[in-house]
Amino acid sequence: MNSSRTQHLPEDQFASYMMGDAINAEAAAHLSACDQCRAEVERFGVSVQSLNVVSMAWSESRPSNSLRLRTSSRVAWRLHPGMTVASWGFATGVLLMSAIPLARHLQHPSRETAPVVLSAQESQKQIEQDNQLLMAVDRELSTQVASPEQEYGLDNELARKPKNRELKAQ
Amino acid sequence: MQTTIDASMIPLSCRVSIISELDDIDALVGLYRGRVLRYVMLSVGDQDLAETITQDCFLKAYNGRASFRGDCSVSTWLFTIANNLIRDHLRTKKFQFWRKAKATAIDATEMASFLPNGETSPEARILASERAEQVKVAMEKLSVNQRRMFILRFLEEMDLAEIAQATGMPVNTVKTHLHRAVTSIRKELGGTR
Repeated sequence: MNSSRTQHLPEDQFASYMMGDAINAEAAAHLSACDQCRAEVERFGVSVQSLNVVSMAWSESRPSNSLRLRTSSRVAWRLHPGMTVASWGFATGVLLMSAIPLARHLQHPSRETAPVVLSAQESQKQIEQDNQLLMAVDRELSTQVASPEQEYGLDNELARKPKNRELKAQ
Repeated sequence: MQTTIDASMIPLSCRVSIISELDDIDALVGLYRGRVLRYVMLSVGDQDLAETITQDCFLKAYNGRASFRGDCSVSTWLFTIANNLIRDHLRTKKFQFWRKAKATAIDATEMASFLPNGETSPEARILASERAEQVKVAMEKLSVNQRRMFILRFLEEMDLAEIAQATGMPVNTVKTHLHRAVTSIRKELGGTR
């Protein structure tokens, strides 16, 4: 073991002393007698103090923005009197602009949107016309357009398949 | 011997003054920003990130001022919030990227040049600047926890119980980190062994 290590303040005692903790009697006696260790303790303290001063000066030199606006923006609608009046004015305007046309519309409904009321006879006639139209469309489709199954000749195969399955099962 | 301070032990007038202190965010920032920014800056090593965290810290403190019970000092409470924010940022990928890039990391020499004007001689100023730089460089070699403990103990001059409260660590863990930090910095400063 290095002889100087045993002579001078050990690491744990040095750390304890710098942290402000109590050190043992032997270490305390050594510290009061050893100029080298005292100088080291002093140098450590002065160096840390230098960083303390320098870092604080750096920190205080940094520009700072007011945070008041950021904290007040959330409650501005109810705290700022000017904003409150403006907000209410704007909201009232929007409400009136939408309410007036709505009221007019309810009083005089336009032809396009008014419900069509038909008599029973007219209604029946309309249903018959619709049915005839649908049947005509159906006929037209069934005669002119072949189904995909017919087009590829699959309708006969599909008709046969169940029989094949029945035979296999037997 | 350490004594535990309970909120009920703080006189009502003091509590009222603390609460009103927290109500004015600009006054709060004016009082504590320098210390919080320095702590965050030396902990994370990035100027932009430190300023963001510091700003978030004050906003969080102001928005949560109703939860402040007065069982510790305002500065300890602010350091607790700052510590939580630092911990959250340390986990993000963005921080990992910044740490690698070190784009806005402050140089030790640059910080050491911020020696305030005093009546000391130019030689003494240069010496102080060099010593500050040495400690700053030595601190960069510490782990994040060791560095945080070192700043709180030696720059903020907080006692072990306050550090434990601010970091959410047991006193013995704080002591262990501090011992290692002091030993490491002593070695870097060329201590006698």
